[in-house]
Amino acid sequence: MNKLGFRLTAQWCLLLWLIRPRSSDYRISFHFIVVRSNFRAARLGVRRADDMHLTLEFGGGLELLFGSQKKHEVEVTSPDDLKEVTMESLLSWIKDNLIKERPEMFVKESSVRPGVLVLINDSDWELCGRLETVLEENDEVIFISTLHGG
Amino acid sequence: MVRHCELCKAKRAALVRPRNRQQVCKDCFYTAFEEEIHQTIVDNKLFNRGDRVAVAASGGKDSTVLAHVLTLLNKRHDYGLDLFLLSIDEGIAGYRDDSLETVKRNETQYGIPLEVVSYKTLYNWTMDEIVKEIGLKNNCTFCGVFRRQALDRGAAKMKAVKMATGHNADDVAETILLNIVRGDIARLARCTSIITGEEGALPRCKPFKYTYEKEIVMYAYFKKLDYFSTECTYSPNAYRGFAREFIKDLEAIRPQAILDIISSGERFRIDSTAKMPEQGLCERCGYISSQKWCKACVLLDGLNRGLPKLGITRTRGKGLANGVENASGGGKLASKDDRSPSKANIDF
Ligand SMILES: [Zn+2]
Ligand SMILES: [Zn+2]
Repeated sequence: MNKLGFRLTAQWCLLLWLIRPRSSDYRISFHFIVVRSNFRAARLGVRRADDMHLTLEFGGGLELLFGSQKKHEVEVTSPDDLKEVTMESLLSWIKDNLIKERPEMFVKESSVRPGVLVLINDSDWELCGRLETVLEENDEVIFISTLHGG
Repeated sequence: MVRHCELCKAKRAALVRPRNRQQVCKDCFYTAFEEEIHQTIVDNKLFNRGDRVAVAASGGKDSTVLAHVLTLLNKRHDYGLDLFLLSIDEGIAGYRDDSLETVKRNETQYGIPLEVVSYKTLYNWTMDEIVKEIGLKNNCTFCGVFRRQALDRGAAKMKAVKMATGHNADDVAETILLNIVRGDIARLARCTSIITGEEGALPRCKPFKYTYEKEIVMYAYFKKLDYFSTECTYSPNAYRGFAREFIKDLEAIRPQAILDIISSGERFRIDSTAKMPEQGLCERCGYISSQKWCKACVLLDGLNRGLPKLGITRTRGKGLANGVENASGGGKLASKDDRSPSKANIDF
């Protein structure tokens, strides 16, 4: 997490602490807030019931944007707390939680940058509805850049 | 929601082919991909039986798939080609070292010999040394000019009669657009041909001219081919210009657009009265050049005399040759030796 991100998160926490509900549902709403502000639930050791486990893999040079790590086992929460995690919500989750640098090399508007190939369970995502694809527990999503090298 | 392959109707579809939106399984994709390249090679008579062919290998996706497909087709269709991998060592520590390791693995994987030619032996400069001298501006100009010539010299040294490069359909479409935007008629006419450089230089061919980049990457991924995709240390963001961005945006809307651009490029008829630069030979090293000295010699001369900006400034027509003359005339370090064909730096 970058410095600015940390400061914003810290500011959020402080603000939320100040306006925290003084009642029994305090813990629940605080938890909710923590998940929604830049923290990765997994990092905090909290796993919500509706978190979804996914295997993400970045290749073709994209791994450089993710700390040179190709494979990532993640617990993803839909940003809008919808029941379903779609490819669109996964992309925004990655942008907010996983990517380390130059997000513009990975996403453009609400989709991947043209030239980034996506495979869901080893199939081209163009076969299953691209952004609207609904992901399931333990799905494997692979992103490969075609933009590097010749 | 499992979709079946449109060709064999049996297996699970694995990808959508950009050229026709066909949904195909892995096996049908491999066959179609390989046989289309075979058709391109046959239809355009890219090779003759017995040809010794240098496969320009950088360790990247395109050249890795090219080496794989050419060795495979050479066996399957009995082309009778004598293939070898040709790599350039630019002398970039940590970048080229690693990609050369990939090419060395390819050597054993595909069972064809590898020849590495280095900037250091050819020019007596590594890219690391050049960057130390000129900084991070224009370093890609040096690298590009040097690499092109280094490939030709390496191939000549190995007695190759042809060179195959991994340029794909996306690359060709991008080059066509760039040449239109720049108004470079001579290059526009040349960049669409599948074989170039027959007049004088070693012929270069592009077996992937009609092959989508997406399919090359998918093929490499499904076949688990070993390729290298790290960005060059000196130009981490250089791999995408506006033209590439535009091509990729077009492809996202309508993939066929890429082949359409190539087809349009091929149909351009250049006015026969248009003045084309004449191809001669470099007075210094004998490499083909439309100027008195070839671009590599101009750049090298500047480097050796501590005037690395020489040859960088955009010049048109005779400007470059004049620039060189003036510079060597006025430069105190210029001696007769500098102008005579150099044996010290370029030794092939
Ligand atoms: Zn099939
Ligand atoms: Zn020369």
